[in-house]
Amino acid sequence: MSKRYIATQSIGVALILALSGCGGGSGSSSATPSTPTSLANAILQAEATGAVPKLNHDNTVLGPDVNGNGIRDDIDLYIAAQPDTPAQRAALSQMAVALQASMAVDTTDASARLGVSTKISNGISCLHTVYGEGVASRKGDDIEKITVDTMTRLHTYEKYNQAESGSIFTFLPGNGCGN
Amino acid sequence: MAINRLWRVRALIAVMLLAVFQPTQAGVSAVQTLCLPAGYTLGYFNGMWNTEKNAKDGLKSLLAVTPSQYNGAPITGKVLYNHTGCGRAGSSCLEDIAEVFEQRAQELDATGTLGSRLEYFWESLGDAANFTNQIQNLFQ
Repeated sequence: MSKRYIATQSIGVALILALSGCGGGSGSSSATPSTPTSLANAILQAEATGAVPKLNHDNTVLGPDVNGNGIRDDIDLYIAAQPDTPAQRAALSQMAVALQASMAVDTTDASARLGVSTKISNGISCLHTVYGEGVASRKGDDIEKITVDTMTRLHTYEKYNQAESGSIFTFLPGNGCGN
Repeated sequence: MAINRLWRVRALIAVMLLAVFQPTQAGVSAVQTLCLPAGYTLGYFNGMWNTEKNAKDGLKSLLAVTPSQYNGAPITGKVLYNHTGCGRAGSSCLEDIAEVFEQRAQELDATGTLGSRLEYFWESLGDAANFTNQIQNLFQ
C-alpha cells in the first residue's frame, strides 16, 4: 500500500516537472539556454551531460555485451564512472552479473536457478561488506533499476522471481565477494 | 512343509526390512548432522512486490542490527520468499504497476522518452530517486 502511495506521489512529482517545463514556454525571461523545455528534453539533456546514465533500452532481454563479461555494455560504463573504490566497483559488477544471469536463466531449471540465486546472495553479501549498511542497499537497487530498465526486461525478471517464490534462502559464510 | 515355507518367507521379509532400515537409519543420522549447529533462526518474510534481491537485502540489513548470538547460541537468518502474485496469469503485480507508470508517463510525455525508461519506475517505488532528482534539478 505504501509503495502504491509512493508511486502515486512520484508520478505527481513527474507531473509537476512536466508542467514546469511547459510553463517555461511563455516566461522566457526566467529561462536560461540550458533550461529544458519539456520532460523529454530534460531527460535527454541529463543523459547527454552524464547527469544520469544513458542506458540501453532496446527490445532484447539481455542487450549488448560486446566484451562478453556477463554485464550489459552500458552498465559496464555506468559502473566504471562511479567515484568508488576498485573493490566497490567490483562488487557492483558482481551484482550486475548476478542480476543479468537471472534474466538469462531457464526458469524451469531448478538447478540453474539455484546457481543464479547463489550469485545474487553473494552479490548482496559483497555489497554489504564493501559499502557497509546504509549505502549497500541503495547501490544494489541502482544496479537492479538500470538492469531491469524496460518492460521486456521486467517481464523476464519477474518470471524468474515468480519461479523462486516459495524458496528459502540463506547466506553462506564469508563476504561473498568474488563468487 | 507349509510351516517351513512360512518361516522362510518371514525370514526373507525380516532380512528385507533390515536392509531397508539400515539406509534409513543412516539417512536420519545425516539429517541430524545437518541440523547440529543448534541456535536460533530468524525467518524473514519479505514485503509485497519484493524481488528476490530486495528480500535478501532486507534480511542482510536486519542481520546487521541483530546480535550474532542469543543465550550463547548462534542466530542465523533465512528468507522465506513469497513473490506477490495478482492472480493474473503471465503477469505480476509489479508489472501491473509498471503498466500504470507507462500510461501516466505517456500522458506526461507523448514522445515516450520517460515511459521507455523503467529506471524511473523503480525510483518511484523506493526511497532513492537519484536519477529523478537530477532531472528535477534541471528545472530549478
